[in-house]
Amino acid sequence: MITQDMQGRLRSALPALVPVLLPEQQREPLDAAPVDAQGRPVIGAGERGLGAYLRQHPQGYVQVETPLALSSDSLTGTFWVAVAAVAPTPEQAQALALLARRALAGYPYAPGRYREVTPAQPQELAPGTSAWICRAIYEAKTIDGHAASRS
Amino acid sequence: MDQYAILAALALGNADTMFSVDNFSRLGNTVIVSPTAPLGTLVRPDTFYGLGYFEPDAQIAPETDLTRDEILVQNPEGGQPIVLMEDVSDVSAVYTVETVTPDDVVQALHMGSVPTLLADATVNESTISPFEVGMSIEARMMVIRITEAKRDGSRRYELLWHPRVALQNDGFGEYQGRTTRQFRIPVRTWQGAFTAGGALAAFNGRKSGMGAIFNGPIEELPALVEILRGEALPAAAPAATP
Repeated sequence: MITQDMQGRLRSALPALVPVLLPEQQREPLDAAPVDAQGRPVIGAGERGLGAYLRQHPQGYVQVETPLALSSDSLTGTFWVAVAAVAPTPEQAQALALLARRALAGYPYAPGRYREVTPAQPQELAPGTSAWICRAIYEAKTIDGHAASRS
Repeated sequence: MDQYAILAALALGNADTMFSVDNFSRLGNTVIVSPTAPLGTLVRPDTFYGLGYFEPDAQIAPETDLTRDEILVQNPEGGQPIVLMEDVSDVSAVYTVETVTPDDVVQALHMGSVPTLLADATVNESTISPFEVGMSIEARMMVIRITEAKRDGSRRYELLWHPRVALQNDGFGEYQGRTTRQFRIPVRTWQGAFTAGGALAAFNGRKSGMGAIFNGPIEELPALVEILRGEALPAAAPAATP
């Protein structure tokens, strides 16, 4: 699967403290809540949602979004997959996005598996939340229905 | 199938199938090669290796070139000389193959000249091969075409067997933003015979120096390839000098 392959590549390239979320984990930052000493959510206290998640993960996180199917020629299939780097400051978001780009698209002279098809600059997610997002889109190809190596 | 009466009256042998939509179909291609010399540690001469996927519309067929010379004689009734016969003086068949998914083996074959392993312990998985324009790797080759499945699952194969071809580097291509590797594969001749006592021994007269074409139901393909695996083997290599 494309998203699993991307997550694996991002996981091995990004710092261990940065979560790499799959599309099905998209709600996780939004449902974040402060936890008590036993690791249970505290009821009725503190900030919830993305702000709380970024406080728990001050280095930011990377979200792999649901692949968008574009076309097929019966041998190869083309998908677009957005990969968002979210962090408290624009500098952090951009640095995280660059690490993700290196893990997925490689360098022009030493290419990676995925090509960047739309670039990204950090944007404030919502005014006053101190959450910045840098969301680039990568092209993923499947061949004969396979996204990644069969081994 | 109802037919236009006049056409039915022609009593054609394939009247039932000539217009069948089943025959409006695609053909799949597989190319397998077996170099006659080992390539480093990667490729052994007794084994066949596949060239991978080709583009969906690729048809793997040789481009044949034929030179005919007219033999002219005097016209006994006067006027222009007349053609007594046409002599075929020159014939060649060349495949162009573009691999979309070249693996390590195909990349080694694509170098176009036979590599040798380096000896020093720090580089002993790397190979050296001469850079020489026009070099090629000699190999045995089979081109296998498989027809679209009929509704009952039956398919047929066509197998083009070439006892000797030359694998040549023909540069790189591009497909869907990915790099492909292109081969130019001229067919060479081989004047040997099928293995005495083998399944094909009685059919030596039915092949040519450039190979043979086999055609049959798909179920028989593995057995045929197994037989051909043992045919036209390279002469045993002389023992390595110590």
